Amino acid sequence: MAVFNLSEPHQPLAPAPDWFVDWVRLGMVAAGWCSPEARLSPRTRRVLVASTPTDAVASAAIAFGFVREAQIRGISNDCAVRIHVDQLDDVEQGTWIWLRAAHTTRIARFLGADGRLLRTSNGHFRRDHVSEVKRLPSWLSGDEATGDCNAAIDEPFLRCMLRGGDPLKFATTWDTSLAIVGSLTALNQELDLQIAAAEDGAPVGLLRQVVRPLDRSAPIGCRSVMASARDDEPVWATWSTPPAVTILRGSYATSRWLPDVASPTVICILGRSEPGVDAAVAAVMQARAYGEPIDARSLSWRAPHGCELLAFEEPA
Amino acid sequence: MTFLEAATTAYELAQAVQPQRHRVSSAVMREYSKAVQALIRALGDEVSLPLWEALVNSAKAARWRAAAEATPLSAPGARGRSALDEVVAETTRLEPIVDLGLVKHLRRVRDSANELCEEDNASLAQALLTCIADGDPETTCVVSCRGRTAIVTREWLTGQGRPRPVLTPRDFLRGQRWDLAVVVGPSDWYPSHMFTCPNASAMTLVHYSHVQDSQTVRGLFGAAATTPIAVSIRSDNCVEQADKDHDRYQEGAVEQLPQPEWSFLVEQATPRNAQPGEFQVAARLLALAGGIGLWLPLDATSIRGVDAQAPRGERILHLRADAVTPGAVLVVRENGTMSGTLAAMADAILGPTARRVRSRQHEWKGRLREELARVGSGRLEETLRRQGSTTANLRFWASEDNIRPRHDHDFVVLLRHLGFAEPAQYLADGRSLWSAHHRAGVRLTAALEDLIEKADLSELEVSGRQELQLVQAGVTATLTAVRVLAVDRQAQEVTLGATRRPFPLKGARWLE
Repeated sequence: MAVFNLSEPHQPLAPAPDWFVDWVRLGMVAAGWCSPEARLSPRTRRVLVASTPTDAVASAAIAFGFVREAQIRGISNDCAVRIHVDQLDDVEQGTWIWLRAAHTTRIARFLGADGRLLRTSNGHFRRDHVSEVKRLPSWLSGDEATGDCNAAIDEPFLRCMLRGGDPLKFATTWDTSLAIVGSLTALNQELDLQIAAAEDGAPVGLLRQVVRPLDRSAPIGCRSVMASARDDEPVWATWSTPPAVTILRGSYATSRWLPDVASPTVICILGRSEPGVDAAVAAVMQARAYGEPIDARSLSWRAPHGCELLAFEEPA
Repeated sequence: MTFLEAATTAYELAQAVQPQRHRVSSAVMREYSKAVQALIRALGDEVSLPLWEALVNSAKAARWRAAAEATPLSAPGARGRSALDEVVAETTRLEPIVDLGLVKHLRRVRDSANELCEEDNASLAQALLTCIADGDPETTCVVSCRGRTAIVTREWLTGQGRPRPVLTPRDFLRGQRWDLAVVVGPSDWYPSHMFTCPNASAMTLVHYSHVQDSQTVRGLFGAAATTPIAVSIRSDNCVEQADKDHDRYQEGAVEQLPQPEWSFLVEQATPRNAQPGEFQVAARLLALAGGIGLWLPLDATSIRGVDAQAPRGERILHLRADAVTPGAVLVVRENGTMSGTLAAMADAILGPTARRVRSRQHEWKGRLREELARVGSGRLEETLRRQGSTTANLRFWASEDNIRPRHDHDFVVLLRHLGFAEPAQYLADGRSLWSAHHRAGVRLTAALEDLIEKADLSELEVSGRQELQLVQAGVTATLTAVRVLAVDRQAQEVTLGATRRPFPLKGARWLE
């Protein structure tokens, strides 16, 4: 029996195919590898490369499984630093902050505090109404006109997908545990797939709502960061902590970025019919030359039918 | 079909695929192959002598073309016949001048070549027609291992009143889905993913029965896979029985792939004017289309290649040396090197400061070369390491292919040793040069993307090479996209300056 129903936008939902569920499970297993008790030695990198009949959808499904499981397990790498409201006077004016005041969550530039009033570029707030403040990392610039987040959060869908987790907290956390690198056009198309739990009346949402890639035009929080494989610099270059898991979608992303990924877990998806697959395999085999093979049984996961898997650990 | 449905179909096809064979028993072709093999064996080491070059190459070319072009030898554009004519002419020329022991082999090759000409490759051509008749013309395609062969086959089929799309493996993998794909040749002549990731509900391989290939096709990672995949190819038993009635002679499919006589090519390509002490690297010889050779260092990580079928923005690939395989398309500069083009672009980016920066670079490199000549590489390295240098790749640093030592600290140690008391300016110059070269590389890739986008690449498909006129950052250069015909698996030690520089190479054009 299917776990999820799935469809493209404006299409009727149908039981998710087995291969989709298998990829979601890989994401869940990868989240397990990030838990403190399962973490590898910091000097070791685990690489999983799957050659698949098509590179479509697999990365989005893995990301969905990873974020969902990481939330359930409470694993996150919040890159925004929490500040006590009383310490705001020490914050330099112009700094990007995230704040929650009653039902409002916004990001804004901090413009100073006048006694009981906090002034920001995105509205003024009474200090005693502000329950939570975070300083955004320097690499993350915001949008002056960011609205409140509440309207954008589909609470019933998230509550269902997160097995009762707090949707607001989920949506307003700055988590950079997951990076996805590949064709942004393809990834965005895949994240717009509709999904629902395979239960009568289950709320329907998009994969994107769970994966929550950083949206610089409306940055209230994020659960992952997407980057184009064609970027000149790796997206994590300026982060203080590299992502726990990086997904390289496609041959181009793999051959270009595999040597540079600093994450303890790297998952590469190679569509066998895609261009440049030979170059990607050469890059993978070069990395594997310095690694130790991982036994299939120790992965606790089985690749979908028609897929081939190469797994190894190597010095980071 | 939505993209989700297309993905599901791809997974289903990969799970269900079971290609089958249609083997063609031909006593004439088998005898020709045996005769060529016997001659090569009898020649032993002499096979690489220039005396035998024309005969051996044309004999192999005829064997390959007859098996890869499933058309009559007399079909327009088919090239098996011309190779066989050359075989006959060469055997006749050589017969009076070679040892008596070899004469019988020459005669056997000549007689079997004549018989093959007479038979006109009809059995394989007929088998192709039989196989395509099994499928609906609208949803049946033919797959041919080379672009030129595909064109010849398509024209012949059209002439026979059976027009079918004839695709290269690349086009087959990325195009529409087919009900039936008839693949000309054994599985070993094709990328494994054509079978593990099929784009057709049914596949039939049609090839000569004496050409033996793998019964099972493995995935991209081969034996290294943690979870492997394998596709078995079903055999047609009736042909096996027919073969038993003749003989069981078999030839490996991989050995039939056109491979040049590398010892002959390496001898021809080895640089003669190397200076004593010049920086040497391990490199492989590539035979490129159009009679070009290229030495590619084993540790090369960024040779530019072209994949015209890739999405826009991803058509220029940065290949590692081990990803350069036959069929890949490289971008080279025939009258110079790509690094020379990059250097010119970097100078344009640096603007008026380029001259000063280059002059200082020549100054320290000149002193380094003098020092190397005076004390030798080993002693100089020892000295620099004693002074705190962590790396000392001295001959590479002295070469024009290197901008400067990677680590500032090592560069400072080197400069001080060479007598530069104030190394700051040289460090700054090195950084500017690095940055300019990086920007030039990004611009070159973008410019090549544009050129590939605008070019009609049919010439590249047919002849294996195509010129591209680059005008970028004040630099004009003629670059060539050229197909790799063969790669010598044996590496040789050559001077760094001789690598990545195309040169004329005789003796490999028959591979085209």
